[in-house]
Amino acid sequence: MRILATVRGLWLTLLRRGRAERSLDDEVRAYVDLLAAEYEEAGMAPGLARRRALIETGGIEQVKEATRDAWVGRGIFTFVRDLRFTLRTLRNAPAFSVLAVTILGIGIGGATAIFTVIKGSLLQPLPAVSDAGGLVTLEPVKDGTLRYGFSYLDYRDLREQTRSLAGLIGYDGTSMTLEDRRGPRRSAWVSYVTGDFFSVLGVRAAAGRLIQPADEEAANPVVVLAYDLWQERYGGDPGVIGSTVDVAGYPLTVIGVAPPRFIGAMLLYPMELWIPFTTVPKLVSAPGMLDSRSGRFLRLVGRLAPGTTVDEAQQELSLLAARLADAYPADEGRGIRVFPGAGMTVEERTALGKLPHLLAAAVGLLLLIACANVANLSLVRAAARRRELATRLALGASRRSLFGRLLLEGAVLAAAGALLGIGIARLLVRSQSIVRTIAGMPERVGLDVTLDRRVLIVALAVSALAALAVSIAPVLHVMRVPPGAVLKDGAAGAVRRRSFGQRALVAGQIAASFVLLASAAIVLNTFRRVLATDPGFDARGVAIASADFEEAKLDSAQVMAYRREWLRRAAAEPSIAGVAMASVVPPAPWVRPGWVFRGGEEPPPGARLDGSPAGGRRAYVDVVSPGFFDVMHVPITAGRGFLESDDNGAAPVVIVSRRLAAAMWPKENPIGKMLSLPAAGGRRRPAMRVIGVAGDVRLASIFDEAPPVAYMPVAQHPEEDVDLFVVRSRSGGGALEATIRAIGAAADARVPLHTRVVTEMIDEQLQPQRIASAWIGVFGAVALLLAAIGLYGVVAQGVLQRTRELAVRSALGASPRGVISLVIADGMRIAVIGSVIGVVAGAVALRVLQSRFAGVSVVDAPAAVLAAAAVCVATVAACYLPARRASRIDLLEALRCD
Amino acid sequence: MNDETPLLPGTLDLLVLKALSLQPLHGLGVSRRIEQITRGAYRIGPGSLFPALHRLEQRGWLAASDGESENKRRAKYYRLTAAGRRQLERESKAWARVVDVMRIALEWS
Repeated sequence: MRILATVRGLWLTLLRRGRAERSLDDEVRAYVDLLAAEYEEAGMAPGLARRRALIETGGIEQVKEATRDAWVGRGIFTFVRDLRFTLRTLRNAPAFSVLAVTILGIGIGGATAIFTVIKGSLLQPLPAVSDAGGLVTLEPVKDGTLRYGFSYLDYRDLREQTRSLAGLIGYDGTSMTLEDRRGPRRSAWVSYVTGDFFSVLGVRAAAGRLIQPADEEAANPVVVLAYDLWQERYGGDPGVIGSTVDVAGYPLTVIGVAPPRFIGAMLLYPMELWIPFTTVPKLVSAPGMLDSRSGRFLRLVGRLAPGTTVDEAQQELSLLAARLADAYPADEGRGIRVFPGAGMTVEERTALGKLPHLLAAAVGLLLLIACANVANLSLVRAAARRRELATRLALGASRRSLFGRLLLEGAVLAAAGALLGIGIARLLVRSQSIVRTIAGMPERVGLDVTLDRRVLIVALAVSALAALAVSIAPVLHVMRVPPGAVLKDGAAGAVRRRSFGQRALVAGQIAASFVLLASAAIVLNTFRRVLATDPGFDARGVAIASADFEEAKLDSAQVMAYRREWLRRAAAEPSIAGVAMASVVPPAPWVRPGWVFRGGEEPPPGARLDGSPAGGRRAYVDVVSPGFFDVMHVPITAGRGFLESDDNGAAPVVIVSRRLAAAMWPKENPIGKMLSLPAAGGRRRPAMRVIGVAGDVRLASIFDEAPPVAYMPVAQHPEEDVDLFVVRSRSGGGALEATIRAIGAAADARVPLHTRVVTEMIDEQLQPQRIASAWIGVFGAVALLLAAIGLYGVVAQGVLQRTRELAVRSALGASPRGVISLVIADGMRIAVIGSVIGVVAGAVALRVLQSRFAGVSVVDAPAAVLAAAAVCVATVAACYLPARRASRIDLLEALRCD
Repeated sequence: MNDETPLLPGTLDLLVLKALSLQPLHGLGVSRRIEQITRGAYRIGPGSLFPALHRLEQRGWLAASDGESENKRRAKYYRLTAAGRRQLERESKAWARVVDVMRIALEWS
């Protein structure tokens, strides 16, 4: 009954408002009428009686308002009314409202996106793995520091002896070439895994079957495809199971497809193929790697036995590691550390953590600027509204209700800002490429980038903070000043005291945007410096064409003929300055170095090439034709280049890069020395005589120092896969690719040619860094914009407050120029203080940058100057409008307006 | 309202319920009835009366309907609902207890 009455009451007051109001009005008027009638009956004149009744009632509106207060749902109604009022107020100040919402939206959106990315990249468990929480990562330590990888023998011992782990798997991955009849030859990420890899991870096949322990020993090597690869390359065709694909030139039988989203056990390197690890020695020509305790090529992940904790597993594995260290000299001093979770090594986690944190710091700074800015804007507005608020106070509004109103205003702005922010965040997050750029992640990393509750809570907390920031400023303003003083003072007079807090806020904002701008400039400069460093070759006007002999089904004699024909035709082409062949053309980040030895020091054929074989060094190998050095503009600094006469009939020769020469024969003349490279499959290859030294080339990555390289003549190595034609254009230009295709078609139309322009390949490598620095630049620009708006507000308000003073100055003969410079100087003072703080803070930021980007110099004067110039321009721009207004103040107007 | 007899909190609602216990009344009628039963000690002005009436109505203790006064003026008449009558009994008993307790307490010597 009671509840029913309440509901009815609510219904009446909220939804039948008009009726309730009419009824109330009738009732009170009836009361007055009846009272007047009483007085009339008592003998009073009708007019007098009515007046008496009205007086006694004490104001119809007041009675009605008091009665309304008794209504159920009165609070809701009041709130709605206040909300409407607030929206009206905000609509009346569209510039302020839009600005505040935009600022908050950018801040919240950016912050939310970054939080999401950090969460997606760092806190994500391995996808498509069942009960990923029960997995632990085993990391080897030697003498207290983390090392990489376990040997197969150690793995086998650990797996047999452990009781705390229900399963232990070993794996690692690398990039290898994938070739088959179904698509272009390309490099693919291949993971080699122990037989129980899939069963321990709890993964079921999407088609066919997955690798089992029996496959480790099987004579016929097998491969499992990733779901994505299966879909993209094979169109989801189940017929691919049972067919053969070549991985690193080695035929493997496809046995099945992994489930969707499964990327293996390495979060940063989503795998496309899985093979039993026993196949690896054949693929990488290292036959002995499985029989050695020092061939550490496996990452280990275990699944905790039911009821076992990570600590218990740690204790047991420490014990087992100690036992291994006692038993085998290779394991001396080595231990095992157990970490919860799987997917990344500790090292990877640390490295990956850096860039998102850097950008998170940038976004955090931005968020701070945004909040400070909104607070500042509302301070400016509060000053302008002082009269309004004071009037309301004077008319009897309680300070509490005023505070409530202002808080509501802040909340409305913050809510709108949060909504916009979430929209912006969704947009940012949905675009995977942007996310990857922000996070600095390699391609194809499986990211879980749905906005989640935690992230939203952060966003809401931020917006709540912003709401307070927005509302507290005007409240403090009003509370401090007695309304009388404000009303008397008028708009222009007011509190003389300059708001210190406000100026500090703006100075802080300028400092923050200075840091961001300087950081962007520094990263950009560093980047330009990388571009400016000589990579050791000249990419301009060079294109490559890779010929797919496999596809064309040419035998080796036909390949030779094709190469000769191609080179002959290209040499005859007038627009082509030079042509050559090579197995590797820089930049080639996918290429891996092999082992090289001084002549006579090479291990016997079939020996293990694990660990670091005595006398062996890692070097990249490039098999090239004689013209290569000319075409790439790589100088021969000593000895001679290759000649056409260095062919199969002549003594084997090799050219080493300066770095390789220095590494193999320090302080000796390398010319005439012998160098040995074991060929694929561990076959012996005669040692080669060094005939020349070539300049260093950044063969793999354009960012890294030039690695040691050994060049071998293509004519002496028919067994090597040399399928790249390198062409330098005479004009540096345009139609080169078309010319190349025409040459290819004329040589043999059956051979598919893929052409690339080398400068484009370099650009591709630079792209992530370029975008990253652009992002920091965008942050800086937005921050500066926000700071400029804040500065504008403060200066404009200052002008407003000093109207009379400035008017008097003008009247006393100050030129408009003088007034303008006076105001700008005022703004400049704040900007200079901000910049000084910015330089100090920038020094800290620099340290962070140095740890992240190679080659960042300690003092980057141009960057600082650039940032300072930007701040200067922004300051003048922000001050100019109010300054001009100040210079046009009319004295009479200024004095009269109060 | 009389200066000498303060209206204790909660008493107004009780007085309104009591005033309506005999017959339905309009606003002014309730005011007059309270004056009558308190021997003129309390005169409830409209600023207190109407909020109380509306509050009690929304609690379901009073029901309202349109009616006509003696001099043919249409007005809103309030009457006690069954729940209101029960509430009046409860409140009266509680009040009587308060009065007893207070008297004994104050007469203690």
